[in-house]
Amino acid sequence: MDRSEDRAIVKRLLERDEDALREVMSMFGGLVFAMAKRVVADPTMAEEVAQDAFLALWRRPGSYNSDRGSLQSFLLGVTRNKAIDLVRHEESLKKTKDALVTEAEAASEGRSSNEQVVGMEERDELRAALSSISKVQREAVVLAYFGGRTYREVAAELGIPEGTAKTRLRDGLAKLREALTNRTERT
Amino acid sequence: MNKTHDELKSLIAPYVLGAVSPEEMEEVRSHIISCEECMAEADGYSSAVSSLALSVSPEAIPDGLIENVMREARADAGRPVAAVAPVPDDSDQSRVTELRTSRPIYGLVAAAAALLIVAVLAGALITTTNELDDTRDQLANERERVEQLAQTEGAMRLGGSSDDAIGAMLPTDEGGVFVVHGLDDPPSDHTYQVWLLDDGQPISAGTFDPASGVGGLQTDHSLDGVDEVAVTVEPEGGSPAPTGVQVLTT
Repeated sequence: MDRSEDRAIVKRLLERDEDALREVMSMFGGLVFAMAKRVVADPTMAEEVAQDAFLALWRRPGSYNSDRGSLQSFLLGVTRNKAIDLVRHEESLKKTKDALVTEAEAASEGRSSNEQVVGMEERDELRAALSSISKVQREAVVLAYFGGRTYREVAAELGIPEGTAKTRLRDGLAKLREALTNRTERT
Repeated sequence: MNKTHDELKSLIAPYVLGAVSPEEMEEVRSHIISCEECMAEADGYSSAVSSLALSVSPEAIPDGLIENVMREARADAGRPVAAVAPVPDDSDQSRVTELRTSRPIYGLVAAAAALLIVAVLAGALITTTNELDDTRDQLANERERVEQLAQTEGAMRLGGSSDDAIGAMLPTDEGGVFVVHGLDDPPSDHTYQVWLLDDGQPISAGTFDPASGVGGLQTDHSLDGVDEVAVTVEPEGGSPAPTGVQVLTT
């Protein structure tokens, strides 16, 4: 789905076209739910987060700006933020470090099941980039991004100094950016 | 406690990941706006962070998810009808603004700073604004930064009937960035909508809801030929043309 299609469907949402909402959910529902589940330990709560994300898009379609990325990225960002808000308020919904890291390893190795249509190539690129950063960097980045941990919590959970946690996050992101840039340049 | 440049710089990656405390979020945000080096660093990480979301593989859509959302969406039917404006047609995409190569670098930096503010506020990152300690000093600093942005070359300053709120619309290579400070939350079921008056015709630049009085958006509509910018209160979702109270104008 390219940006002009994203804009077209968002325009229909602005016109209160319910079919457009249904189409958006059919296209991205599995992905949005998966993102919520990556963050929240409880599948029922993850489903609620996914519903909230779609309702937010329905109520404020104008908050999507095609300049800043695809509708898919936008929805995933909204979902992730909603899920993290939830785990920060409900400690019981926080995933364990082991669960987060295992899922990240599976993602970086492309072992996930039920692969669907949306952006497979882009996802493959990202997986390759993720697998290019070191295990300790990936662990820190995943705890922060999908686990909603602050760098202090990352440090405490991994039993490392706070400075080391900050360095791993920085180096992990820098390496990831570099890997993504190199791949983009090659294509 | 005032942190040194190096201490703040070490927090840029955690900040972009949303992995800092609310207090640090505010400190880093304030610093980035005034530090080109740190702003560039944050900007560099943001694409890596947003691409992390794409490592998630889709799962089966849970039974009932679509129907539950449709039911809630239909329950919204009593709300004011939302409208067309903020999403440009493809035809608008061809009207790419000419790169303002003559614009001094500080103008571009200001626009980049505004973009970051918008990115943070628009939820691209985790915002913890509600938990921030909004001291008078901090609010004054925020206001001053928006005022500085409004004074940069090519920018348009917006003011209102109340002195509390100020806004700035800054030209970028692909349109404009709008930031505002000091706006109260809109009334329930309403939102703020930004309008560009192009040859006297109001064109929607989009809607926004401020967080702790600060808000903003990006538009891909060229500011060339725009001689006035205004902000009105509109029903949630926005309106095709201005209908509500005008709260800010150039």
